[in-house]
Amino acid sequence: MSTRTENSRSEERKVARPNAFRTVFLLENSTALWSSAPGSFEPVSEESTLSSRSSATSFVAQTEWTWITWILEAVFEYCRIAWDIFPSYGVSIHGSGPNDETLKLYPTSGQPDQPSSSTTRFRDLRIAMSAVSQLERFAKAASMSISSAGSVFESIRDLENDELLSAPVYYENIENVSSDRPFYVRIVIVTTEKDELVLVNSVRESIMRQNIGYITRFEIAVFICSSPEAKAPSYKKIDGLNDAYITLYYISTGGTELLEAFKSCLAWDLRLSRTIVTDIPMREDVKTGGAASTSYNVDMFHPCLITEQKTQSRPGGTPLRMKWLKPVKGTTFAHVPLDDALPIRTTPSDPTTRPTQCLVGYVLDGNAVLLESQEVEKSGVKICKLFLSGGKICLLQLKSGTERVVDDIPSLLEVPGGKVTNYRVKEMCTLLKTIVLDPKSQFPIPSQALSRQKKMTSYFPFIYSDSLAYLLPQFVPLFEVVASPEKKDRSEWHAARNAIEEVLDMNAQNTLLPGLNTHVVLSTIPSGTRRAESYAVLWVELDMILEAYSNSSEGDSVRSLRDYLHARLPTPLRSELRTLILDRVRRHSYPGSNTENRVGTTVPENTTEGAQGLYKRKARPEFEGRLKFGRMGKLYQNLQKLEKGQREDTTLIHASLEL
Amino acid sequence: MSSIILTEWSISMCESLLNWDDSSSKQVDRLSQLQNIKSLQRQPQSSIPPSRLDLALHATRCLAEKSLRYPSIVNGSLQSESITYATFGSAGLQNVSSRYEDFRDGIALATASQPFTKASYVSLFSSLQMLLKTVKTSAYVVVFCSTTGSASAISEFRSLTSEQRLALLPLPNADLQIVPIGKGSVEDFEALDFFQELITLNDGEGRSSSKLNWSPNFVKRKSLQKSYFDLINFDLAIDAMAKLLYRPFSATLFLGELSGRVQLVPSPMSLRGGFQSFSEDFRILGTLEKAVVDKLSHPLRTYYVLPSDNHPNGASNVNPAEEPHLAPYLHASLRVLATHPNQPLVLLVCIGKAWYGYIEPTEDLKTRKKSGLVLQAFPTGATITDRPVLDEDLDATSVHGSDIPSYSTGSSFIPVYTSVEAVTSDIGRVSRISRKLPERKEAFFTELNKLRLHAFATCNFAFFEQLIRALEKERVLLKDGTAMAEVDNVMQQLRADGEKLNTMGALVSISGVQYPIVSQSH
Repeated sequence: MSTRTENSRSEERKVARPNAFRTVFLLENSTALWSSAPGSFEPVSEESTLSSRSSATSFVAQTEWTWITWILEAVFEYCRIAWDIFPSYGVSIHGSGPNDETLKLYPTSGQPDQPSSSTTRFRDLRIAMSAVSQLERFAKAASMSISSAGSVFESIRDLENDELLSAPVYYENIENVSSDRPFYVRIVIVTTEKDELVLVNSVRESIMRQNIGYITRFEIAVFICSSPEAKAPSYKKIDGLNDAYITLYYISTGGTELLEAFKSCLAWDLRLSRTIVTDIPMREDVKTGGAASTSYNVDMFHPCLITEQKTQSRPGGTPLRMKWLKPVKGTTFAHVPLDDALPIRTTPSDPTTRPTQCLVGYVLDGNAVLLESQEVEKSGVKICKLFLSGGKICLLQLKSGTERVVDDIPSLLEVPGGKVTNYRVKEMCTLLKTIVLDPKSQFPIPSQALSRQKKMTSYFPFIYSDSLAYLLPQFVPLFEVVASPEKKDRSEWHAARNAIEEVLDMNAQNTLLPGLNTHVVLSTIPSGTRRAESYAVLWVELDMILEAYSNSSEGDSVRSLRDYLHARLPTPLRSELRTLILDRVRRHSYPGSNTENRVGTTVPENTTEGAQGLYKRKARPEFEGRLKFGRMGKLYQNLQKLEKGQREDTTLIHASLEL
Repeated sequence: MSSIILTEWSISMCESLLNWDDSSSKQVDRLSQLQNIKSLQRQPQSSIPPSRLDLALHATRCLAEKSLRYPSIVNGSLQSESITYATFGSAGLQNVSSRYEDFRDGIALATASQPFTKASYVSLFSSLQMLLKTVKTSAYVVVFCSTTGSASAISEFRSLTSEQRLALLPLPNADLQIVPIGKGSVEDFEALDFFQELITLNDGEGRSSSKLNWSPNFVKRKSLQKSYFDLINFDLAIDAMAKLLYRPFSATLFLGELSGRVQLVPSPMSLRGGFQSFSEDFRILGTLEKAVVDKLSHPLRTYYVLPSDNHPNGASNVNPAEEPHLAPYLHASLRVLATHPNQPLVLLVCIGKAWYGYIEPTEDLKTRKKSGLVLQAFPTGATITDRPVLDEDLDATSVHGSDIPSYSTGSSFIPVYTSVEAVTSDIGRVSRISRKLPERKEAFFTELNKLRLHAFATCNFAFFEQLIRALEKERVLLKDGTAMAEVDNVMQQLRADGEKLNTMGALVSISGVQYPIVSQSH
């Protein structure tokens, strides 16, 4: 059996990983690269562009950008796509100095090798790369030399202690290398050197000279700018080295070809594939009036999808076409994710086009859409969902068909708590409404908020018989004042004090309180002493409730009310009762409705059997009758129904509204 | 979820692996140590030791007993997992039964009447493909097989073309658990390699939900040639597999000081549950409006939340259905809130370290009369929006605390100029802002500095010329004198930029205010 734990097994198998540990760019500093590159933008007219409504488009005349500009744009695009999908992917960029020494352009000293925050990393990258313009005066007529390439590999050697390059595990146990893990370092060299032999020899000698061939596998991509002829990329192993491979890209037509070649290299490095979302309906405002709907396509990059045959599709390659099927709202039980499929981040291939901006804006608003593959047999992918997850646009593969996880629900009369009919639903609703969170303003949730929750629930009865205080209609004005979040005026607080006075009078007259026989603590006390203990329990309960609400927005007033209670009580509160109530509530040990078997805990041991029978009484219904008007019904039905006459009866509303 | 437990029906399965001595006290002790295959009784005649088939049948019984405790919801009631029992030989599946007792009795009859054949994995997987089409849920397939006598079956399978193999494996929506029964000697190695191949074919590269249940501890080895089958280790291995397959998941749901035990269906530890390792304490952090939740991260898994007995050891003599429980209490409250428009709430729950989900009420889809609670689990991660949920998660997300993608409206990312639309869009935006000078002076300089930074970073000095031309066009349309002067001033500075005279320098307005290029967060 595998020795890995189930947890690590499930986690490892699900995370999308790139093929490469990191990418290192080496930019040649030759005069040829500072010259104009072909393939610049054509002039565009105002009518042909979809993006801008201003008159600015008409001036975009033929522009000639230099090779270096195209290269840097391609590098930025590589980083943009990489960081949108793998935010912690490491990139470093090197240039050549006046003496062919390698200059590390990004990250500069003081910056971490990995991007720290997306709000600053692009800024840091741009600031760092602005130094490239200073190198123009050192541009050489010759192309890349062995020493400049060698310096890059020397800097890689310095990364040996980096955990990303602790891939000696790759060599220690070759069996651990699999397509599931990063397994090479990508070196990107942009040069004007056209001689393949020179290029391959330069790389070989650099690796051998630095003695770094054992560290990891190297995949070197060489982009030959201004190549005289158009050729397909060639890929081969470098002779004489254990594990180094070189891909040569021939860029002959200009900047856009260079850009596409970079993206092709990126797709392999990060194991990405492309999906074209087709038939996106967009309503175009027609100047003549009315609205026409046209369909557009948007190209997205994302980690390779898993097919229904449980194989991963090939990086790069022909984009998968997925048709816009229908928007979806909220969670639907029919949408079951494919086994082993997790939401994968996507990023648009060109974020500036209007269709892309519309689609991105639609999803960023919290909308989701189902996509249907148009090449099911070829791709093995059927249905996907495009949606927002954690602020990022993600793609999730769904199972075809509608396997529902929750299709059938058992009857609740069979489950624990299902037959209880006197839950305090109203109070719980109030509690739930007071702990509503707003992710925008309240995340991250501070730990104090959770301790407040503990306080509020330190005494919170599940059912009516868990409490005496909640059963007294005299206390309704007090609870309304204490539990309600709205600010109360003086007269309402005065009414709360009057409520306390009223019950104190009852205490003085020893008026029988309701619900003694079913109370969670009093029911365990012999009935002879139960009545005497009932007010002691009642005041402790009230004190605990006031304490729980003393951190609310009206905390000062609640504390003042509590102080008033302490001052007015005829005898001090008994701490052992507090402990007993808390313990019972926490353990939820409700004695049950069968009182005949309940024996008081204070029954003396030598009590005769006959005398014991005195303690076994049936429940006295004088107050429980209030709950038995035939409207109790079952827990989950008739929740709002009350007979007409009883809606005005405030003494009943408090106890029976939820039944 | 369902299970299919298959036993090989072949001559090699009739072989015995143990030396059986009824009078041996050591053996008696050993039998008494068995936890799960206690039904492996001593044979009436001590000369007949248990065969591989006996071991497989008794292990099947162990799994059947364990599955009784694994809840499954069928037709509105809680039932145990459904299991299909069968044998497989050269003719595919036989002696198919849905009850262990019927299967056992069928085997007893078949032993007398049905000849033992050779195993055939080709016919096994063909039959399984057909059987799984009728099973609408995910399935575990457990196969007890012999490590010897399978050479012909192996060569038959290996002689298939890759298309033919693809038609047999992977099994649709099924997890394959193979239990080879053997001594672990050299002659078993070929079979073990073959079984591992089958596992890989079923699961694909890099996945390991299926398993070859063969441990070095299964057998005890003195040397490669001398190894012997250890009954206790076999018993432990079956026990471990039963726990893997039929482990119900229970957790305690906490709302402040209130708590209640709940069970999740399907179990998160299972194939259908997604092999999730939730915490056993679920903390309710608060409530969220349903409309807000629908815009958060998409939940990945759904589980039914079943109230569970708070006293699993029978500490209370009260009928659990009559004892108040937090889960139905919350359920009733959420249902009341759901009836109010604009008030449906869900409970935000912490289900693991930096892992969240939410609990909401739901109805059954058939009758819409029954109601329950479901847990929707988000993907692992401390964030379900663009910020962590708890402040204790801040460390986990501090490195990428503001991990805003380039396309987000909150991002100040400037698009790279890979298409003409990107260039025109940015220049057009600056032009539009310039029309609102001098009121929008701050925005004007901020946007200009963003574009300047990108132009310097890409050594694109020709871009400044384009920018100047656009501003010239706008200047003609301006009416305010201050605005015109400001635009003139900016164009002059942009010309210096284009001539590389002021790389990365600040822009200065006509009032002398400096706008450094790197003060903003772009």
